[in-house]
Amino acid sequence: MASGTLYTYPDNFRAQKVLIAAQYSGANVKVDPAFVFGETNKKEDFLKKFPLGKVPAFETSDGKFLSESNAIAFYVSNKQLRGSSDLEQAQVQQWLSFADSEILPASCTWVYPAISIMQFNKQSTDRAKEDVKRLLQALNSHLLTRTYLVGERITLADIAVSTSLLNLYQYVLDANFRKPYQNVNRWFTTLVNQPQFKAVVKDFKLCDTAAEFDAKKFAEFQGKSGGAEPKKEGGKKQKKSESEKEPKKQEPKKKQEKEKEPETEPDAADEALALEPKQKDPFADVPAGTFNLDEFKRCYSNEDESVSIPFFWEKLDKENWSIWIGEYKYNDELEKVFMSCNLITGMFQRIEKLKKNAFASVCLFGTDGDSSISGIWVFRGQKLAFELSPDWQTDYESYKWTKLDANSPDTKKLVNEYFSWSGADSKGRKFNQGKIFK
Amino acid sequence: MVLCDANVITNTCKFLNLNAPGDIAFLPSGEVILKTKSKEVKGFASVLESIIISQGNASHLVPSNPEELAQLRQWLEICITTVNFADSQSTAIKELNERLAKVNFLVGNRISVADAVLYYTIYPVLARATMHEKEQFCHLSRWFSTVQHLPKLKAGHETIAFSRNPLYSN
Repeated sequence: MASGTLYTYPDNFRAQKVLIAAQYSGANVKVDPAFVFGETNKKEDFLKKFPLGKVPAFETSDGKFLSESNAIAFYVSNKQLRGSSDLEQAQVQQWLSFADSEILPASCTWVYPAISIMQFNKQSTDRAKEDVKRLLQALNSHLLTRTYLVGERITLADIAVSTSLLNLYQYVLDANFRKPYQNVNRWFTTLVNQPQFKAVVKDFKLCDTAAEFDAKKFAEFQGKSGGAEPKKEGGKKQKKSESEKEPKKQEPKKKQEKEKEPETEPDAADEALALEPKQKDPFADVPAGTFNLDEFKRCYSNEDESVSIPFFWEKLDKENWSIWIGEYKYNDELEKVFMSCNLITGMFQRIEKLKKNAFASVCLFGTDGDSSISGIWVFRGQKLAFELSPDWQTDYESYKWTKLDANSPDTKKLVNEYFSWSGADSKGRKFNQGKIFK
Repeated sequence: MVLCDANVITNTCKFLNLNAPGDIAFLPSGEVILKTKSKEVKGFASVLESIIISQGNASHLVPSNPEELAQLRQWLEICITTVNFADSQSTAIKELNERLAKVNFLVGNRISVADAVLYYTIYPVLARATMHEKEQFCHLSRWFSTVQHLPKLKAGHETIAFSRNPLYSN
């Protein structure tokens, strides 16, 4: 029977998969209590055993090494968990892949922003929600005629798929959302109430109210994770003991510290995610407001201006968004039209990252040798967005920036002209070309 | 024909590795009676309950906490009041199907002696049911299909086939 030591940080759902499998098979799996995430797995002797430095990682009692949670879970399983026929074994593999390549990407995209450990992006979250619905529907039909995923007893397939759903059921699948998936709910409830599951995941509570992104918490979290590594680990441990004292408390706030770690998990995609939040979003402290920029951009791209401009005025959240006019200071130096256009597109490229929170229509008026550049910009926040990040400041000083009163009819007229690429500049030069920053 | 008969009681005893604590007999009225040296217990549910609860060893198949014991009693009652005269067309089966929509097992979250009692009680109905009927009460079928794979439970009962893929639903 398999025996050995598992290296992981606490409450890692991938490690939980291994530990539950061990509960069923009776394999002797000890979690190394001295393991400190971010320290132990960066030390040379750890990297000698596990070159990628990822957890969970497993060291057998006779000194062999295994990484990748599915492989470890397979190793510590017994015959029943692995599947008793060739077909069942293949079916177990099928569900392991399903959990990793279907459920986890959608789950992480939805849950991590919801518990404010990753930046929120409405489009991605909406897509992830749709994916989750599709996946739960598929599972639901499968489980209509089956008690467990493979065969008539619990297998590794059930363990892997249910642990990959833990975050969803804990944070975002509220009673209303999960209602149509009765068969999945029944199966999931049965599993988390098995003594072998309870020994590892303790008392699991299904989500009451779906967690939602909170910019303030996210900023706090980033502040913490930006700190020195050892400090972060210290904080984590403290949080852990807190939540042990109050196992019933499930609010994202308490769990926040613990839950951030799944990002630094065994696969590359997660690793990339983990790096992401460390760069502070310049807009983290700016309220998002109700204006959905992506929605407007879609409308502007797909519809005629007669539809998109009224749409803009209707949706614009004047509290949290501001309108600016930027006029090029050195119009006298402009020569050929195509060169001026390159000047505009060059600026757009250098502030690529600002696109998430800004929209602009920049126009060139006049002809070769007698032209001017100016544009209407819409930013999240009431300040000039360029000042939020040094990366965005290459070009902005070449322009004169004036904030416009979003309520005045003059502004309205100006915005309409720029958005529909019509009108003329202050010296009567006619519109020539326009560029849209979106 | 009644389904809650002496066979269910003897099969359940075997399943729990228990000897019936006395003679089980049928009265002409159809009532089951358990006669021990000192006393008599009458009625299907009472006989089973006295066997399971008083004799039940520390087996994990016998519920141990008060709520689960109450659920066990509830299911014995459902067997005698609802399932007893059921056939595959009756509303009793529909009711049973609905009860099983949200749970995998009758008591708690694992197989217990309650599942065994219902298995022995309902077996004749499912053995005669057509594939079409079995698909109509899919939750009952799913439950039965899982429970019948417990080797000790079957004790000579044939495995009943169920379709995994809905054939008739539109």
